[in-house]
Parts: sequence; C-alpha cells; structure tokens
Amino acid sequence: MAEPRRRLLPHLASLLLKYSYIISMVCYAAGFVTVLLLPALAKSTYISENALMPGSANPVFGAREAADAIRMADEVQSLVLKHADGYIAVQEWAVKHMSALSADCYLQPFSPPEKPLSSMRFYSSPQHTGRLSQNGTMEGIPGVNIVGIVRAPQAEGNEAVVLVTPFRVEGMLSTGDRLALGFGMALFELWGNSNWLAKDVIWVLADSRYSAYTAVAAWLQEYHEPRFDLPKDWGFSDPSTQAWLYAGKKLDGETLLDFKRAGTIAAGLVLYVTSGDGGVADCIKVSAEGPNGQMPNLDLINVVNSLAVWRQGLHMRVDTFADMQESASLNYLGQFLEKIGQLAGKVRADWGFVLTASMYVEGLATLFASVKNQALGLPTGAHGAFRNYQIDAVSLEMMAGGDFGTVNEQIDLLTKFGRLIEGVMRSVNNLLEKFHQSFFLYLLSAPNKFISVGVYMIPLGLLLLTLPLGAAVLCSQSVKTAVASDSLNQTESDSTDLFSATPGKPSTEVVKAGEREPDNLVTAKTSVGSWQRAVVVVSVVQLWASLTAIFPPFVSQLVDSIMMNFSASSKAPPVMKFFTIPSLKMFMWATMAIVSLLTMVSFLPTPGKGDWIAVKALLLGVATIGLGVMSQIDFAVSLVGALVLVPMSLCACPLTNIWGKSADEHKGSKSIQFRLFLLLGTMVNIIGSPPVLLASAMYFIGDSSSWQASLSKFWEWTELLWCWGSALYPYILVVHLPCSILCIYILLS
Amino acid sequence: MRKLVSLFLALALVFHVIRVQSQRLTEEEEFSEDLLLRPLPDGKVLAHFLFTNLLPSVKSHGHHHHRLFPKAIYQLVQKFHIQQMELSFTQGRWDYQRWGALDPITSANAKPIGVELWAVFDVPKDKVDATWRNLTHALSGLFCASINFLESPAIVATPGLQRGVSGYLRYGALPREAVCTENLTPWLKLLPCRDKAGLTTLLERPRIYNGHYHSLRIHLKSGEFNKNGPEGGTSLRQSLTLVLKPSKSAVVPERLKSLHSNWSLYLLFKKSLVGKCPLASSSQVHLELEGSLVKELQHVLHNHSTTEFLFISLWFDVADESQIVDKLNVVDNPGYLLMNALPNRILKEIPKSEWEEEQSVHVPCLLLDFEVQDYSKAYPLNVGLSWRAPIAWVPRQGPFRVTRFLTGSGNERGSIAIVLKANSESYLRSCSKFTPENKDAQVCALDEGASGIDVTIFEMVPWYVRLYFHTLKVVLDGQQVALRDVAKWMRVSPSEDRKSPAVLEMQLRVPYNTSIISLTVEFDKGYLRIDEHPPDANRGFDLPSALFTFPHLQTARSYGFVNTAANAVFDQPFFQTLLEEQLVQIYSENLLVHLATPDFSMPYNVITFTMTVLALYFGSLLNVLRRRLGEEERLQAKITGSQHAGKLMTLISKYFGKRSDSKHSVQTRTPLLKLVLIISVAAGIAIYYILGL
Repeated sequence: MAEPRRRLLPHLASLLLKYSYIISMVCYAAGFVTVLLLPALAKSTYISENALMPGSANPVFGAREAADAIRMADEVQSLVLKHADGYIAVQEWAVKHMSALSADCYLQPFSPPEKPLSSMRFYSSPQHTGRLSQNGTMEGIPGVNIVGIVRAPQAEGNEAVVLVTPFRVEGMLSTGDRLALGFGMALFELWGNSNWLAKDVIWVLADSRYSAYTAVAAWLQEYHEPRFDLPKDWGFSDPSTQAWLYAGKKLDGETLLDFKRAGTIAAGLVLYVTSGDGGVADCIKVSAEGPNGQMPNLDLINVVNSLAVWRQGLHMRVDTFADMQESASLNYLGQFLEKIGQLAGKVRADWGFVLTASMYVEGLATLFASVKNQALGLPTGAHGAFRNYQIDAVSLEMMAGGDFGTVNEQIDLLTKFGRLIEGVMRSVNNLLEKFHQSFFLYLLSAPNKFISVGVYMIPLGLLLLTLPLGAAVLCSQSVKTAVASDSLNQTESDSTDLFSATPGKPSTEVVKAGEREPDNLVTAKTSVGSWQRAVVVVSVVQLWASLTAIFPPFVSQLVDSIMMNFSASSKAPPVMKFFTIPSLKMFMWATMAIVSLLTMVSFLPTPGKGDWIAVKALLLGVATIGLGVMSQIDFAVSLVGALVLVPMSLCACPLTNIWGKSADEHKGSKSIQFRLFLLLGTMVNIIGSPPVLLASAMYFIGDSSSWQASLSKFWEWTELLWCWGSALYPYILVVHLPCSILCIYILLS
Repeated sequence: MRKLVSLFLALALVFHVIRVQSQRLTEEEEFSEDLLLRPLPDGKVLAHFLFTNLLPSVKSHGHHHHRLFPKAIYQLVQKFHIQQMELSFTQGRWDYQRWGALDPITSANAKPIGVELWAVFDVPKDKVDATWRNLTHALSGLFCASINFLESPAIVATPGLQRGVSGYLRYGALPREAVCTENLTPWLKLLPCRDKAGLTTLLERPRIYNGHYHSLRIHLKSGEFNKNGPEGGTSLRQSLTLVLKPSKSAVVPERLKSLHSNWSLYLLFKKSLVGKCPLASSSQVHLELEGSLVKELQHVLHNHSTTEFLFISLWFDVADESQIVDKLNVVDNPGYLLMNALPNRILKEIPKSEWEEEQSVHVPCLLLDFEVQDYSKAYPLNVGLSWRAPIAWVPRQGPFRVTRFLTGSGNERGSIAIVLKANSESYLRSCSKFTPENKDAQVCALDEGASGIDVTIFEMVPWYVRLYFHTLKVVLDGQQVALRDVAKWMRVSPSEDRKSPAVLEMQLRVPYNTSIISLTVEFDKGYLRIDEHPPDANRGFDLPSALFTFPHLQTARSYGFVNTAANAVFDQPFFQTLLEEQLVQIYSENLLVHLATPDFSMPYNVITFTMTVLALYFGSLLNVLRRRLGEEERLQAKITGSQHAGKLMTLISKYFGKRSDSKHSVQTRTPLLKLVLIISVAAGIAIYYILGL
C-alpha cells in the first residue's frame, strides 16, 4: 500500500509561493546589488579573431604624410575661403586629388531629412533620409557627399572598408574638419599607393550640413537599397552647381554623379578631429552605440584599443559620467567592495578580486553612461547608420591634449593618429571572414573592460523573476479568497493581505477542493467573474496606451494643417498667444490622451470587491511580458525599466488597506508594521507613476523657465525618439504607461 | 646598318605575307612567341605574352612523334574529344574603364577572378557530363589547382545559345581559387623552351605576381573531331596577360609629377630580353599605341614647338623617314621618347570599314614591332617609353560599363542588381548618330532594321541563392518596362537544390539613347548543411561573374604597313589572333553573399542546451499525458480509510510528542527535510570539489 506521493515540483512550487514575499525581496535586492556589482564582474577585453593581428605590421604613415595632411588641410581651407560655395570648393579639391591618384570618385547628392513625424513608419529604418516623391522632386537644398574608392590592386573587390570624415562648411571649415579632411586625404593617398590592400577602401566625405548621420545614412541607403525606378532631379537651382555636377565629366565619359560600389562593407570608421577638452594627454574617444543599443563587434573596439594604447601610447576613452566619479556615496561603496575583495582574497586566494575604490567608481560611471546611451536608443554618432545594415562601425574622435598649437604639434598628433588608423585598417584588411568571433552584446565599463551578455542578463533575470512569482501568488490567493470567504469550514485560510500570503497548498489543490464540494462551485464562478472584469480593465488600458503611442503623427499633421490654413489667411490663431507650435502639439497630445483615458475608464465595468487582486496579477503578467520583449529589442531599456517597474507593480495595493478598516472582519486589525510597509510600497508607486516621472524628467531635460518651454522640450524629445525608432518610446508608452495606470487603478480601488 | 636589316626584314615579310592566305593550314608543328606591350591611360603597362603551338591534323599527316606540341595537352584532346577548351587563372580585376574593353586582346583576356573553364566536347550527349568530370580532374592534376571542384554539377552550367558552337558546351567558374606560381610552373612546362630561353625569361615571379592584373590562360582548339567542317589541326594558345605598374622613382621633380612613369622592359620585369626561344619560328615584341593615344600625341605635336622638349634626344639624332607616321615621329616626339631600341617595322591599323575611316574620332592604332632575334646578351632588348608631356587618353570602351551588386541586408533575402551605364565615348554610340536612311548603316555592323543596341547577359547563380525569376525587373532610364518589350530572347533554367545552378541567359534590345539599363532579381538565401560549408564560412559565398556580350560588336583588328595602301595580311599567329572575329565580352565583378552561418565554435554547448530543453519538454509532456487525475484522490481516500496506514508516522509523531492528527504537517515536512538533505549533500560535494581543486 503506497503512500500517496507528494509530487516534488508542485510541492516546490507551493513552497515558492509560501515564501514568495521573502524570495521577491531577496531577488529584487540581489538584482539591484548585481547591477551595482557589474563593474566588479567585468572582464578584460581580448582579441578573439586571430586574423586581425593588430600591430603585426609596421605602419608607414609618418611625419611626412602628416605634414602632407596639414598642407592639404590648409589648401582646402584656402579654396573654401575663395569659392562662393564652400561645399563645391571641397568637392573640387577632393575630386582633383582623387583623380590624380587614379582612384574612382563620385559625388552623391542626397535629400535633406524628412520632417519628423510625417509618416507612420517607426521601425522601418532608416528614416533620416528624405525619400524623393514620385515626381522626383523634393524640398530643401540637397547635400552632396564626396566619395572616393581605392581599388585593392590584387583583390576581387567584393569586400570594402569605409572611412568617413564628416565636414561642415559655415563660411569656412572649422579647424577640426579641416584637419580631418587633410588627414583623410593623406591616408587615402597612402592607401592609393599601397599594394597590401585586400579590401577596397571607400572614403566618404560626409556633407554634414544636416547631420553627419543623415549624410552617412543617405549614402548607405543608396549603396544598399538603390531605387532604379525614380528619375532623379536633384533640383540644384544654382547654375554653377549644375554645371559642375553634370558637365563636370571626367575623361572616361562618366559624370561625377556616377554612383560606384565596392562590394560588401566589412567595417566602418568615422573620424573626427577635435581640439579636445583640455585633457592632459592626446587621447582617442571611441563611440560605438548604434540604434537601440546595438553595438559593433567588440573586436573592432579591441583593435582600436590595443593599437592606441600599446602601439601609439595614446589614451583611449569611452563615454562616461564625469560628475558621478566625485560622488561620495559611490566612493564609500567602492571602498566597501575593495574591503570585501581583500577579505575574500584572504579566505581563498582565487576568490579575491583587486578592485580599488576609484576603479570601481570609474567603472560604474562608464557603465552607467554605456547603459544610458544604449537605453536612449539614439546612436551616438554617424557610425549608427552602419548598424542598420549589420556593418560594424565605430566613431573615433581624435582629441589633442592641448589646443592645436603649432604646426609641429599638429604633425606629431596626426602622425600618431595616422599610424593608429593605418594599423586599424591593416587589421581589418587582414580579416578573412566578417566580424563574428567576439561579442556583439556587451556593456563597456572601461575601454578595455566589458560585461558580456552572460553576466548582465543575471540582474534582469533576478528582477523579472519576482513578477511571475507575485502573479502566481495572487492567482492562487484570489481563488482561495473566493473560496474562503464563502466556506468558513475551510480553516486553512490565513489572511487576505497579499504580502504575507501563505497558501498552505498550491492553487491546484484549492481548485480541487472546490470541485469536491459542489457548494463552492458558485464561489469559483464569482472568482471567474472578477478575472473577467480584470481582463477587460487591463485590455482597455493597454488599448488606450497603444492608441496614445500612435497619436503623435496625427497630432503633428493636424496642428500643421491648421497652422497652414492660418498662415494662408495670415492671421495667427488665438491659441498661439499661449503656445508655441511644439508645445501646442504636446498639449493636444496630452489632452487627447487624458480625455480618451477618462472616456474609456467610464465604460469599465464596476469593480467588485477584491477585483484588484486579479487586476494586479494580470498587471504583473503584462509587465513581465513587456519587459521581456523589451529586453530583446534594447536590453538597457529593459534593465532600467525593470528597476523602476518591478517594485512599483509589486507594491501596488489599495489605499484602503493602509488606513481603512481591515477588509476581513474576522482577522482583526493589522499591525502597524504591516501598514507602514504598505505605505512604503505606495510611496514607491507614487514615485514611479507617470506624473512624478514626468515632473522629474522636466527637472532634468525640461526647460524650467516656463511650462510652454517644457512642453516644447517634451515634444522635441518625442519627435527625436520617434524618428530614431528608439525602443524607449514603445517602452514608455506601451509598457510603462499602462502599468502605472493600472497601479493607480489598484491604489484607488 | 640596323636600319638596313630592318628594312630588309620588312620587305621579306611582305613577300612572305603575300604568299600565304588568311586561313593557314600548317604543314608541320610550329611554335611562336609574342609579347605585346601597351601603355595604359593610367600610367600602367599592359604586357601580354602569347605562345602559339600549332599541330597539323593527325588524319592528314599521320600520327607522329610531337616535337613541340605538349604531349599532355594532345592526350587531353584525344581522350576527351575536345573541340574547344579555355581555361584561365586570374588574379586582380580588369579595369574596363581605364584599360579598355573593345580591342581583341582586352576582350579575350579580361577574365573573371579565379578559375574559369569552358569546354566543347564532341562526344555523345549522355557522355558529356562524365567527360567533363574527367577533364576537370585531369586539368586539376595538370595545373595544380582545385579545378576538380568543378566536377560537381551544382556549379556547372550548360549555356544554351551562347557562343554558337556545334558540340556540347559546359561552363564552370571557381571565383575563390587563388592563383600562384604553382599554376604558372605547369603552364610553363607546356612550352618548348620553358622559361629557359625566349620571352619567358622575363617572367620574374615576384614582379609578375605583384601586378594589378594577372591572367594565365590556355585556349585549345582542335579540328580533329570536327565531323562536318574541314579537318583542322590542333592549336594551343597560351597567354599570360599582366598589368604592371612601373615603379615611380623616389624623387620626382615637381614639374614632372603629372607625367606618367617611364618604363622599360627591365624596369617592369627586372630582367632583360637576351634572345628568342630557339625553337620558335618567330619571336617578336610589339608595342601598341592606341588610336586615341596617337591622336593625343598629334595634338601635343601640334601645340609644341620642338625646342620645348624636356629631354634632348640622345639615342637617335636624325629622324628617319620610316619613323614618321601621319606626320608623327613614333620614336621621338614631344609626347614621349622610345628608349633603347628602334622598331623593326611600324604597322598601322586598317580601318574595318570606310565609315570608320571617315570618322576623325578614330585614329588608327600603331604597332611597333621588334624582332627578338636581333638582340643578344651584349645588346639586350630593353624597349621602353620615356614620357615628355602629360598625356591623357581614353581607351576604346564598350558601349556600356557594367556593374553587378547585391542590394538589401540581412541573412534572409536580397536581390542581385545589374546596372549597365552607357559610355558616351564608345564606338557604338557614335554609330547611333547615323540616320537609318544613310546607306552606310551597314558599317555600324547592325542588323537591317535593328532599332537598338543588343546586350546579351549570361548569369550563373549557385542553388543556395534562390532566385525568383518572376521578380526580374528591367528599368530603362528610370522607367520600368515590360520584359517582353526589351527581351529578344530569354532562357532560364531554375536551380535544383544541390544539383544544378540557376542560369539566366537573355538578350536585350534597348533603344540607342538608353543611358542606364538596370535589372534586378530578388532571391532568398538558402540554408546549407553543416558539412557543406567551406572553411572560413563566415567570409560569405562567392557568386561567379556574369558575362555580357554585345552581338553587334566584333573585336577583329588588322594591321597593315604604314605607307602602303595594300591590305597586307600577316600570317604570324599573333596577327591571326587579332584577326579572329570575336564578340566583345565584359565580365562583371563577382559577388560575395553572406548566408546564415551556424556557430561552428560551440556545437557542444548548442547540443547540450538543446537537448536539455528537449528533455524538459518531453519529460513534462509525458508526465502530464500519463497522469490520471482521479487516481491520486482515490489513493488519498484509501489511505485515510485504512487503519494501519501511517503507523510509522504515528509512531514518529508520538515520539516527537505530537498528535497523530497532525499528519498533514508531517507529510508536508518530510519532502522538505529530504530537499534540505539533498541540497546540503549537493552543496557539500560542491564545496568539497571547489576547495579540493
């Protein structure tokens, strides 16, 4: 006669539910601590792809080339100053030099970026280049990229490396742009005369009169997704420009507008030269974040780092929060960790880790900057455009230690950078396969330290674990409450408060109990009713949030058309006394959102007692799914979101539970501690709710001078997030907003 | 004295030429070697070595021991019944825009990168594939190359209407095949003098493999198995085409920077030419000056007064009458100075038609010939050019320049785009200026009633790039046109997985004034099995080049003496090669497609992970399927009903001073205890191991 077997898994589950409160607390705390510990868990970078062989060849770029670069920089500057149209001067200069090298060169006109929010496209990249309309015309002055291609002498020509130097002419070239152009030309000439190239080199002089990103994105789009069926009329009104572009034929019968390609692009380098911020040493700043936190292959950064640091003795930097490094509390934390490291080292030699407080704080500041850049979802430079075509690219900003003083200093600086860039090019040139060896998913905590996906998934996992656990507890509890409230003979029931929810049995058993006793069927049905209502509430809120998320293009077009009508009648509409156009748009969007929310709420079914438990269970489920999906699109958004959203949705409970009479008469009043706890949770909830977040956002990004200015700022941010296709936008509007609305619903129920 | 010799030679050749008709049947084996040098507009130099081996027909002359003809090749012909075969090994790209596309040398020797092989067999149809397979293996052994990969029918095409040959044609290409000296050595072994004497002594390996273009080619033609046509011998043409960049001297004065680099044979090859191959019937070096270059030279001559020469002519003080062609001294003129050697004879291109002659645009090309046998160790042939004025000229380009590229991104789909852009300078373009009423329309080499330019496209795509032919779109100058409006004919054979590639052949006829033709075909990327990936699979997969021909354009070029109007025909194989009517061929670049590649580095991780997930899934699924819901409750009920159940439990609970009715709590606690026990044991083992290790 066998004893009825207690099944292990259900039993474990019941245990989990029983101690869920503690487990959630521990998990959340652990997740939070792990985030802070990430700099300690960072590994040193290493070059994974053997073919790169950085530094295996001695660079030939020397002082003579650097002097050439400066000479050519001066030459282009003088040409720009002489010519009426500075851009054409640069074009003529570049075409002259490239043709002398017998390299292919061409000009690529591109249309200015389209107005933000003029279309519903959100994730269809890239949106930054205006599309020609069907009749082939467009608005605004087109920009013109200049492109030169050095064909590798003995190669097949189906692979290429791209070098980008953005420039902008505002009467004249800035010192940085001037040097970047001269520097680029010196490198181009070096490669044009070399015989070691295995991949073609494309040099794009990106016309960044709109932005460097626009120019590069336009070029890449033409490279990868050309439109053959649109007749192109670039609408250059200036006859001299037209003459130059169309009649500026070269010997072999091609016009300068003849777009040329060079095969699959293996890597991209975007070069900037800046005068630096008064740092002590010459340094090179690497920006790598692409759209939605997509990073280039870590090997590319490693190559730059190893060559810069070990070969050229340059300092390498990545984006960091400078003011975070002075924070006292973080320093204490760093010292604490240092102690722990030493202590662990004493216990067992290989457990110890050497992490000084300053290193820790530096790492944390860099890590947070990395997370911020990834979470914003905006690329940190023109290299982001490459990522849309799965090309690894980084921006290299070359900063002089001091100001560009004498010519000798410039030569010294350019020699170092030239040798660095040549080294990187040689490495990429060595590459037989495309970048695939090293990491694509990582966070940088220092130029040579990274946190790989395997590590940074842990805190998010810990944070997300608490949500389904909470949902399961509530689920079992809601069923049991329904059962318990009607069948008093069930002595097992404890209390209704959710925090000390201690169901003795897993929910399945409770359901089974209900099945066994026919009287309880009724109660089960009422419980089902509360679930139905909850589903309606959650779906309505989700629907509202989704609608709100797609309002901005409509609002924008509506306001624009109204403005157009008014401008036709040359009379300002009365509302314009209070609003600027962006703030009006923002105001209308907010109003529409609030009005539609109120309308929808008024149609909601009247909540029953205890409905909030079901709503909360669903809320937790929805939050889990939302955060999980977001982590696939942009991990950093999900991580930051989870830190806020998890405690918020876990702590949501009706306000009546805090000061009101206890819901269950037979349980007596609650303890003070418990009420205090609920109060704390409510505080968290209030802090995480949209109005408070908005207010804090307004404090940080908004303009505090007037509320209209703040509204405008918000609208600009919305436009920015929308037109860059940032994952932050859907996160805020489709995940965070409905969840916090549901939290408020629970608070008020 | 030297001039006298050359004059005599020239005269002798004239008589010789008159004796021989154009289609020559060799009576005995003959070997000849030629080197063509041509300055290119971008300062580089084209060097084209041509070695011709002729073997008279076996049927008419009987089997005999070959004296010169390589036995290995003859055996190939005999064994595989080859009518024609061409094999090329190429490194580097031919720059059609700068190096020309229309002349016979260029058109025949600009080959796609890697290995290209095509052969026409005279065997029964069912034996063609087997013969091809054997041929690839034989050639693979012969030339130390992995040509045997072409045995797989998945990358071999059977072109339908191309080339117009009678036998069975097979075509294959290996774009990734690397070319090196190990291919050159067996190639040299086929020559009677190898590289010990004659022109091949120039082939200094580091120099020729450092060039911008290197194409090793074998062309075999045999009349032995020609059932219908006249019996012919076997001819083997071996050619090596190089584009070399003359090294710039380190210090160049600023005023000379715009000049092209000077070059000579020694500067190009680091070797000098000391004599001919004794077995060769003729051994010549030709220096070809393109028509457009000659025109520019005349232009320079016109503008310059003789006193402005940058260099004083040291070698030849007096201009010889014979050196002056169309008022231009070809040896010493304001444009350049011919260094170190005087030409034995000077030839001038004979215009193909009167119309061409009328066109002032087309100045005939000049050919300066040098007899190698006149030179010796003491006086090596080191012909070269020293430039005196910056000259820019345009080579003869095809009617269109061709690019082929991939569009789209990602591992799922994409499309192949072919774009043809008209060259305004081209030969055919100028044809279009002729009105149809002009009775000379024939000279444009157009069909009667032709209303446009014909372009033939041949494209072979391996099966893992799954083309969708219904998405084939043709856009002319930004206007999409229906395929049937422009396609004269079209032949499509879709690919079959792992069996045959997709082949697209079509002929387009587009209006004369078309400036851009673009064709796009969409494709899906296929998945390969793990063992089908080549080494370095993440590099991507190369697609062979597409081939474009222009049916109305022939490349034949004939030379005649400068000062005689008579159309002399030269019988040396070199001139015969130039005379052959060939279609203008232009190859596109080959393409690199990235397919979805598995992560080869961690199969173990992937397998364990997948298997764990599968085990969990199946375990829980089986558990659910096997469980009977009522069963447990019945069991529970039985236990509560039975008296002696839980005796032990009762005892234990009594022992612990607990009432027996708290059975429930005991039951819940026991597994917990077990769990704690298991965990602590596991932790203990783990700690033991960690500490122990």
